[in-house]
Amino acid sequence: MILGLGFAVLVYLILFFYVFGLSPMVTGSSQAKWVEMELSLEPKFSDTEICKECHYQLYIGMKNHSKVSCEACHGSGVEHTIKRTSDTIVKDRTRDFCLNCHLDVGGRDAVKTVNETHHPGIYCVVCHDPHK
Amino acid sequence: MNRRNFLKLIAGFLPAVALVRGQNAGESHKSYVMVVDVNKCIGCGKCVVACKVENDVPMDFKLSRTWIEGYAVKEKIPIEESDVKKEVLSTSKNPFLDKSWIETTRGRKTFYVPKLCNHCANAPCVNVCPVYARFYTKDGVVLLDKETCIGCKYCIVACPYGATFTHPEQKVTDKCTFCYHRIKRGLKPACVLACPTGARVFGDVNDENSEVSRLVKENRVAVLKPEWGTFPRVLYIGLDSYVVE
Repeated sequence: MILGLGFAVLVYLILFFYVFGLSPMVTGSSQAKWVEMELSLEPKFSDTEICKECHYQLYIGMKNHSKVSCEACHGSGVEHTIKRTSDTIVKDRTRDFCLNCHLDVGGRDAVKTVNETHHPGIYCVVCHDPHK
Repeated sequence: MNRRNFLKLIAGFLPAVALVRGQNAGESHKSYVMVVDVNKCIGCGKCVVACKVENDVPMDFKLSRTWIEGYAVKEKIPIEESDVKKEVLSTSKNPFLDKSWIETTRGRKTFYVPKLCNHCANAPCVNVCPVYARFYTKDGVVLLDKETCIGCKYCIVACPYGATFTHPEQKVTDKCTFCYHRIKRGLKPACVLACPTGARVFGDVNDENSEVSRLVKENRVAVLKPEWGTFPRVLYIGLDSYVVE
């Protein structure tokens, strides 16, 4: 009986020390490992400073959209900075793409808006250059 | 060992402990904060798409690490449920461009509130996690260890902001990390980068010269659900807290 009790106490103590003192979750070693894993992820969005190096003329000629990041409209650009082909970047010229931000919906006081009666069916880029 | 020797041993340890603690206290860490200007948000949904691309969340999945809530309120004190109309943008399809929403907003005060994980200083999700998978980093970001997470969903129940969800492919919980891999490289988080109007600003409040310090100093900022005592790191300018849940 004493042997059984001793064994039970031993198991209890091992479990107690593992759960509250030695397990990687408590000591924080698994968390440190995860932070390293998180830091090793590669970004998919680049930065306007990097776009500027090749597309400098577009960058300095910008007026209305000067505070908008390139990748806000053109999508993630890291692949484009490596391959440098036109199919690795989003170039959407449709009317719906512009109206995503500029359609006259309530609550859009921060941007200029148009409604559907403003030259319906015509692409905005025919008259308005987004890079000027 | 008699009592005298035992006390000597303890006394020997104390300066060592004090030294280690002193070293930790001397380090100055960053304190990351996001400031969201509700007046500038136009509900375009670029942040939602950018976040999903950057962090591998399925685009058509209804839940997202960040989402936009649109509110259309009758211009009086809202009493009935029909006085406040609410719509949520959480996929690449934008419900705010629908004709039904445009008609709803006619004659109503409309605003858009971007939401994300608040990275609370006293986070309920960290407190309830049974396997210590959620933890604070030294700069205040709440991270989630997906290898330790068992997917028990206690955090989903505990979070008062609904900012955490089960990832449909990884089958563990998922939430915003403030793009920890980007901010440690000196880049902005994906949602801040993609915001065309500059409604989201991210930075270090301990740095006196950063833009977030200036915004917090010059504006009256509010947080979501302050009564929960979570002390969020996402601060809102111009928040209509009478309406926003």
